[in-house]
Amino acid sequence: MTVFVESFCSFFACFFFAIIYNTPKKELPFCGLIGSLGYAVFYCFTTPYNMPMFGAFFSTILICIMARFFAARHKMPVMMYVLPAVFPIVPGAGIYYALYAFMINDLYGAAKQGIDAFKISGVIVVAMLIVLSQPKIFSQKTECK
Amino acid sequence: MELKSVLELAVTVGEKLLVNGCGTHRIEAEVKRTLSSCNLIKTEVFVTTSVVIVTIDSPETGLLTMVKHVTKKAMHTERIAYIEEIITDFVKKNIDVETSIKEILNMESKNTYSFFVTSMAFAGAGAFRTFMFGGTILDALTSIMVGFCVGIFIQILTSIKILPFLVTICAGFIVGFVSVLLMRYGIGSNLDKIIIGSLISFAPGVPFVHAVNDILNGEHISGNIRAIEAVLSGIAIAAGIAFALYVWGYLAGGAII
Repeated sequence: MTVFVESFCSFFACFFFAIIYNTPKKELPFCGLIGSLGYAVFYCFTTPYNMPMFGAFFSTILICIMARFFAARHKMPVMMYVLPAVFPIVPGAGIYYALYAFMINDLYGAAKQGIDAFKISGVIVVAMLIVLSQPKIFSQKTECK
Repeated sequence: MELKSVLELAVTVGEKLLVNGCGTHRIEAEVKRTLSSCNLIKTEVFVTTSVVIVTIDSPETGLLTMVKHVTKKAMHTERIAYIEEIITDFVKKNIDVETSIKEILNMESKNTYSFFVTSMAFAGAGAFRTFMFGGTILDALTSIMVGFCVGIFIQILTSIKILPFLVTICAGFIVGFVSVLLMRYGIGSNLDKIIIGSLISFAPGVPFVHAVNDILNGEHISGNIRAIEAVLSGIAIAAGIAFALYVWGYLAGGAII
């Protein structure tokens, strides 16, 4: 039940974030759609089982597959769909807590939070590279990266 | 076809893609695609986060190099798509060089989202993100107001060309200050969730992803530069928020968080 509420909120969060990145008006709902499905997968892994890295990996794979599909259909660059959709998964909270601990001189806590955030970001990028460097199956307008 | 104009088109394409926030690998691919439409003996492209260097060699012109230094940065994916359409038309020889250059330089006047819409987007993104973090509806309302103020400030400060580092510090300060101000009026209860939700729209998550992408592709120069930019931007945000909380601690006579 909460999965639906979370993915609904994630749809609008990615929608507004795509406006900040100046995407064309026609592509905004698709960015929101990809973001909501990606975050739903991430939430299903994180909340019951507490495995954020697996969650980030599989949800980024799903996001990139859908982004390539839409980019081929709409003839737009792939990153236009990926960046707003990945936005809820990137650990902004981790970076904030890391820098906060750094400011109050809790260096061990800062290192732990910072390295956790870095690991999740690394997993996101590895998943992106795995999907986005596959050869083109459907004809696409430009080389995807 | 005048090859010097083609070189100028390639460098302009690289510069405009870099200004609008494209990844390094993709910029090099686009510039090479532009140059592939002519018969050249040798082409070399080198792009980092602030410079575009293109070299061509042909029997008519000899060895030519053009360098362009890029200082302004923004994030505008619609213009990236528009440039790629123009280059596709150019490569298929539907339009010629001068028209392409003129179209790309006229692109700046295409309509982007208005000031008010972008501020509402900062507000909305912050509100939904706070709600996703587990805040209550009142926290989300506080985030709307905080995000709106931040959106207004960021757009005003970038339009009068202040250094991006200072803009980020001011944005962090505004987030901290306005959230504590609204909390002291009784709206919202979880301070840290409001602050995290509001600042994620300009926190360096996505530049960090670009940085690791560049490093894994072997572009260590631009990868490391982008990583340091992301880290500095995070430090700027934290410094702004810490300063705001310190100011409130002084005004209220005790620690806030």
